Amino acid sequence: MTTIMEMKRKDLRPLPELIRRKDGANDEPAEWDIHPCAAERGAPMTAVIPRIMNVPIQDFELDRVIRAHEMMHAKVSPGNRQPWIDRGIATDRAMIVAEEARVNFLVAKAGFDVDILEDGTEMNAGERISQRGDWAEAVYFVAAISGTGGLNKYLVGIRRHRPAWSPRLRRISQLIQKEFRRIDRTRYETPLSSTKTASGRLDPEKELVEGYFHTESIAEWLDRLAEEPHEDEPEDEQDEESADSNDSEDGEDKVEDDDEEGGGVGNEKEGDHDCPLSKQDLESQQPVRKDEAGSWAQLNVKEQNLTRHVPGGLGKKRIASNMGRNPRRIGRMFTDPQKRIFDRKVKGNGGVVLIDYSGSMSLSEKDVLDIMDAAPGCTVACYTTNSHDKDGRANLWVLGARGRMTTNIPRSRGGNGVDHPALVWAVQQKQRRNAPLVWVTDGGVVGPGQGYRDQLAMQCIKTCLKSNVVIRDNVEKAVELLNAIAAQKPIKKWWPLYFRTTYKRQTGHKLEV
Amino acid sequence: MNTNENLPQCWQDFEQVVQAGIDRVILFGPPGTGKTYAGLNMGDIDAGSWRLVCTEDMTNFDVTGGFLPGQDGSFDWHDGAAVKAWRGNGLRGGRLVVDEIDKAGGDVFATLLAMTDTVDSAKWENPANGRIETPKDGFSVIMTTNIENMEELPSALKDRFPCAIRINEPHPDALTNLPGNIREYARKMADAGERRISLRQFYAYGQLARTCGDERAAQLIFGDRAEAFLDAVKVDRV
Repeated sequence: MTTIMEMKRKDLRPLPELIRRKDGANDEPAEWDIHPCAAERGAPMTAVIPRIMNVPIQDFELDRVIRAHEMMHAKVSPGNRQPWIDRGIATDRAMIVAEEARVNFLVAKAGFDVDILEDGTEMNAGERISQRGDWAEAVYFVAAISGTGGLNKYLVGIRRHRPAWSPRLRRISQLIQKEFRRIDRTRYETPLSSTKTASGRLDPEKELVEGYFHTESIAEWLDRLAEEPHEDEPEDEQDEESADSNDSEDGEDKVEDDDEEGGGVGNEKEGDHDCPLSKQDLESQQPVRKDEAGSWAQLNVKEQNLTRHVPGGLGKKRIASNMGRNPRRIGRMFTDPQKRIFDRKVKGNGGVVLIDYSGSMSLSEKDVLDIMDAAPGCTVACYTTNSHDKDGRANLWVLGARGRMTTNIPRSRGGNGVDHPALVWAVQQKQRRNAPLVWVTDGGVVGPGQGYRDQLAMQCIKTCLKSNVVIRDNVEKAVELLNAIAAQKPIKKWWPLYFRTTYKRQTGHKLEV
Repeated sequence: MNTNENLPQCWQDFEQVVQAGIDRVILFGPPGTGKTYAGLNMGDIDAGSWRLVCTEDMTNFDVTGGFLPGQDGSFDWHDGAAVKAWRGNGLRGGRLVVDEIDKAGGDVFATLLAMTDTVDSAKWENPANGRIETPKDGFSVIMTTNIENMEELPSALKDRFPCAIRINEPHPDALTNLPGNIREYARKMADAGERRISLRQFYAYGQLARTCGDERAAQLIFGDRAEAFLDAVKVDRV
């Protein structure tokens, strides 16, 4: 046993100055600010770029593992998470917890005993989360403590109010560990701890480090699992056990004792709630693998010379008025108590038309002009790029805006490359919240020089659902839709086959039409 | 030898400055990064280089010279480092490297100011023969100090040394003698403030690790910080 005096003599502050990275962070020799803190959840933290670390510095084994955990953050975590948040693939919360899981996995790999990584609050956390019925937080929290000694206590807490959640949460933890083990032993995968930047540029503030793509994939998967509602399914304990034992056979998933399930907890009436995530849903959903993950090119917007005036406006209409010059509605003289016999024009909602101008759409310049003619008063833009494009070259062109349009349509460059950034840009161009946004695309959304990736497609689908984007896949249908919007007729939603397939594959549900 | 592009920024700066003919340079920064070595060996040192280590107790004897008893009972004049550097090889002036000038006492400091003055102003009368000496062309001075804030240096000194470069990492050539697996650590720990681990400690650690193993070597060299060092290496190598 180490005495207090011995503790005082030891300098247990970690040495993050030693850590080598490949993204340019921590490269210049410089001192870190190490601040002692309590060995409690939430107190230790690491900020790579300003070189600050809060860690417990006492001579206990738990403190030592926490120090290793924070050192691992200094080793592998991105200097700035904002570029990852901006990608919009996964939520911030999911990325935080997935990163905890990755770091704990790597700490264990480095030879530290992460089983002792618990601070005694896990059971309370489990109880509180389950009492509130917060399934999403239950999923995120289990990821944060996956692989550590706190997991069992957390699940005990969960079982106090939602016993049906426990096997699912344990399984989620197992799947996370399984995925990390798979990545770790697969030679062609980017190493879990890699801090090489995707672009090769050394800029820890802006560049994406490769190892964190694994975190992002797990986080995106956690977001899917955390989503509610999922179809309920009757619990089948036998199936549960057989699934667990199957995993045990391949030596990967050591199923930990679930004997606490009947051990005096979870006997309350509340505990009979079903789990929001069915076993089938859980097993059918997988994290996106690194080679299946994609990324978009940077969006570069260019406004063409808008030389031609386009009369009219989408949704623009005349309504009766009691003042004016030309009494077009003379019949109202006798029928309308307010005698609104004149007309006045009211502006339409405007709108945005975004055109996927990639090779797969096979649009001619005339097609684009037809769409623009059918969308007077709208902001019309098309986008295309390819893998050879250099930084800064335009890949989204504004063809019409503010009642004017161009006659100079750029040539397609073959690829998509910026579907989602273009979509986000289009959403930002909406003049009003309820202005229509029409996206002319076949749904074959791809990053530059990449194949079709479910991860990227899901990003587009989520934005479409959130911002009420209406999709059409060819010129005739798009013109028809724009005419319907102009006439204020009801419009029908439609999804390309690509999106329908991806959504079904990723969520197990159909896209609503 | 490293090419200029591969050098750390501070060493690139130093090379650029000496190649441009700047003859009064202050090198400052953490100890053990090779400032003195660079002063003695880098740039135009064909005419020789002389070193002065300043302490509170030193006298002008070390700077300009002094009389020492000779074999025949008389006193012989012995030149100090600054005068030797002024003369250089007789044709061109040499390099004077002044370590820790901030530690010099008042007398010595004043003399050093005179000796490191510009060529036009620098003059010194040799007491042995009454000759007036001036620095020869090519005379240069590199001053080294561990002071971090240049404002702490006297203004007269700062005025004579317009160029100050902070050396924050060891010269790559100095690292080549270390085992490959700890070179980068030695570089990164050179400027870690109060928790700095010097290059000399890394040399000793590398040597000991070969015979005693990493753990024992860390205990012997890093003492209280052995655990922190070994844990950091474990994490770094994951």
